[in-house]
Amino acid sequence: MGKNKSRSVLGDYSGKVGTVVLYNYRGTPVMKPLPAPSQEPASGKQLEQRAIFSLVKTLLTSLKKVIHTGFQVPRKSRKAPFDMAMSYHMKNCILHLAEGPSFQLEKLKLSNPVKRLQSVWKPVASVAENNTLILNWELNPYPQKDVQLSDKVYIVVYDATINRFSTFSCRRSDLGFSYSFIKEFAGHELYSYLFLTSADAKLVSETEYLGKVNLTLS
Amino acid sequence: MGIIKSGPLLGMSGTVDGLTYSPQPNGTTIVKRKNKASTLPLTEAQESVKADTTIFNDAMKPLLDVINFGYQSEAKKYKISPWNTMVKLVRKNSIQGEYPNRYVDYSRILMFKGDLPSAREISVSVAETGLDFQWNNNVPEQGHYSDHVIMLAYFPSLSEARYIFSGALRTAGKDHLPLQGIYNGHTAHVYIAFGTGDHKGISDSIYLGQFNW
Repeated sequence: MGKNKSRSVLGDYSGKVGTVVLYNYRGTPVMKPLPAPSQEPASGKQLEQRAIFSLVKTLLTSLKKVIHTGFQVPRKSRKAPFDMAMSYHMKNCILHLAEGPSFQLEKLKLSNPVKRLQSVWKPVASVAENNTLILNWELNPYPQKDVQLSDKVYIVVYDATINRFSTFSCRRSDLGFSYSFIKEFAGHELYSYLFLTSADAKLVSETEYLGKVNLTLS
Repeated sequence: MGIIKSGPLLGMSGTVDGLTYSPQPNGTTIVKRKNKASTLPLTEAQESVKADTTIFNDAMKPLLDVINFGYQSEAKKYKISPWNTMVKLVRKNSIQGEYPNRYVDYSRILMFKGDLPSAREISVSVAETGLDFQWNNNVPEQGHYSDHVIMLAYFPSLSEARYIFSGALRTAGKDHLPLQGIYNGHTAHVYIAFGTGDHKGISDSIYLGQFNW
């Protein structure tokens, strides 16, 4: 894509147009053919970076809708919410091990509040029989002024055994949430997270990690 | 660069169509192409100022509501927003240390600013449910018995502030700021001030120290 920086139809383009690249070298407009991909083998660092990128991308892609809601972007930033989430997780949530990069699930961040909402008070995750996941929380005794009972709670559960995210939602006033998984899921390891948005989705709270639990049938 | 000596553009200020106009003290107006962002690497002093902006904004952003309340009377003097008034008066002196180890010194921040007199013999202590404030309940010369106490506890590690803008009357001599609903194990920076009943007059804030909650 080329960008025209002057008001005239001709001239002052920079960027890629068709098979050529246009740029300005010290005041001289220059046009050159598109560079070909490098033929050299990738270095160790490049391979590691690619591994990190694909790891994060695979994990976050299924959360695209949630991230679009939760990741607020500063007005002057030119990033999209998902790109910002990619950037954050690649920088902050990767553990560099000898066998390759690994994702720290307890650091997963689903919301980036620019306009902040107060979260729920003392959220706890637990399991009950019949593969039931139970989340409980309270109302803050001294809520901030933006807090409403109609605020939406987004609950994201990651099943580490089958590498799958599930998303649920309810209201702040429900004070709890429970979901029974099918019986084949017995013994699965679940990571739960929650964050809140106001009813009009303009305010977002920080993500809270509620810990790891194992489903049981009895 | 062009110099405008007469015509409709004389005295114009700002950027239109990539041309920046700036009126000069001698009555002419200068017009030039709009400046581009510099491509030179930043000097250490510039890096330091840039870092200060980040540090200070991160520290003060959770207090936006407090600042909008606490600087409303002061902002009228400068005809700018309460937030900008606070930055103008507070930022330069509140950031301490040498770059790159700059930090915000909360004891040097004025959360509220105004001409109303404060109280003497102020003390604060941590109680089971929050903070207990006490002060001398004599009404000073420019104060009024109907003035209210303003209490603020700010938790930087939680980015959370708990405050009461219209607390007990000045004559009561004591009040309680509940801190329930804030997670324990964090440090609070505590401030006190006094404000008039109609919220138009306010005193300078007094820093009362750090407390563990």
